[in-house]
Amino acid sequence: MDGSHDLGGMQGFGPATWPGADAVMQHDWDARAFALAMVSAPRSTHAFRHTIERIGNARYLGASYYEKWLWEAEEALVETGAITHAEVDAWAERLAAGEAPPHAEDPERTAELIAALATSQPMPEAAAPAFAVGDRVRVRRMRPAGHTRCPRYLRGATGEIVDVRGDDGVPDVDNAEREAVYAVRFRARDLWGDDAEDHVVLADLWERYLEAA
Amino acid sequence: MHDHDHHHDHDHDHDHDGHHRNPRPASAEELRARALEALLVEKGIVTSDAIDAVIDRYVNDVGPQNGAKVVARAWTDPAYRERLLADGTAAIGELGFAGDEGDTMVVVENTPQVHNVIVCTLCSCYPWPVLGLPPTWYKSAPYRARAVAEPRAVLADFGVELPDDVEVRVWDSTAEVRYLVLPMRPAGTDGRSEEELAALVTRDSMIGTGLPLAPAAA
Repeated sequence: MDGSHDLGGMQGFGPATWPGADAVMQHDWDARAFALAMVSAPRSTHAFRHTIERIGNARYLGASYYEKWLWEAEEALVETGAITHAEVDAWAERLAAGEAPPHAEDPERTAELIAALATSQPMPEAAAPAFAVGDRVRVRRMRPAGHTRCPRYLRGATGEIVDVRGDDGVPDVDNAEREAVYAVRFRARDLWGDDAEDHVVLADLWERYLEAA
Repeated sequence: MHDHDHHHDHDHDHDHDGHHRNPRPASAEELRARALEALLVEKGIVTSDAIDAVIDRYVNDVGPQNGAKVVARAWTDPAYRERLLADGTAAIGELGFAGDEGDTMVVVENTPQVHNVIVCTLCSCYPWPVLGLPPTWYKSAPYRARAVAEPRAVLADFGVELPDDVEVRVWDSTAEVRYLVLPMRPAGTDGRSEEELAALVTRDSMIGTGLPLAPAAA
């Protein structure tokens, strides 16, 4: 979906950094919200990102980073039917009234979780890539209603394949299909016009986003 | 409120975790986070120790000190540098760094002709195993919007100015590849140990918005 998360090239936001912006966490509860989303995640990474994209365009830009993660953690579990918002409301009231939260431990499951988080699963080599290094490609025009990892600012632009990264699940169909991902190199002035800085932009794009140029 | 006496089977304290220090919620978000956690523990969807362990890993254990070791090794060991540029995932794994948001690592090398910058315009993809969790600016709209369109102006906000003839390459992390910049080794560091060199490698120098520190005058 073409929402306010797709920020590449937008103007009017001001300086890229500011005093305090080096901090990883902005609030005491950020680490907890992060961990809750990581541990409870009932769906894929693609679904995780798409849930955050659906928070609403104004709220996406206004909310802090982990406010979005916290919202995602609750929303994903509500959408999968595991919990209801009313159940969270009820616990908020109980905690506010001074009730102690429940505590549970499962060292074996926790050890497995941490081991999985510390293990890399590299993308396998592409089995049947349609494009090769050096090919000129154009990013397709599109306006998908669901999740995509093809940013707006690249659509319609022509670039060059510089690497075949491997095969990976397609975000647009939540991993139901796999296909080649390519590193594509674009001249900045092909994206932003002749007045732009003369740099290079590289992006990793799934095969279905590309056509021969 | 929270049970302070439960057993922690790890060594780190929890100073980072306001939950333990502030029994009264500081905000609506904090109360929501604590309510959601209580509900999920009650329902058996998560356990308290799993939450603590994930915080422990990403707040205490994993951070830019990992990436700095990778860079310092590459600066001192030419064969390692070759392996790092050829297969980032495997070479980073040699030093024991691996995992989520670093499954497929590509290391991009700065040279006198090329300066690399990493961004994620669509969310905030970042190489967790080598840099930890991203700083606020990396996740915020200004950096994500501007880095692909005007990187030299963005670098100026960070106090970095590059010669005109340097090609700036901006890597937008749109898929599951995660990037690490291999910055140039600072001049005047001949004979420095790997550990001394790692201390010069800043987080921002591995994102591309900064340069390594200059060695302190002898």
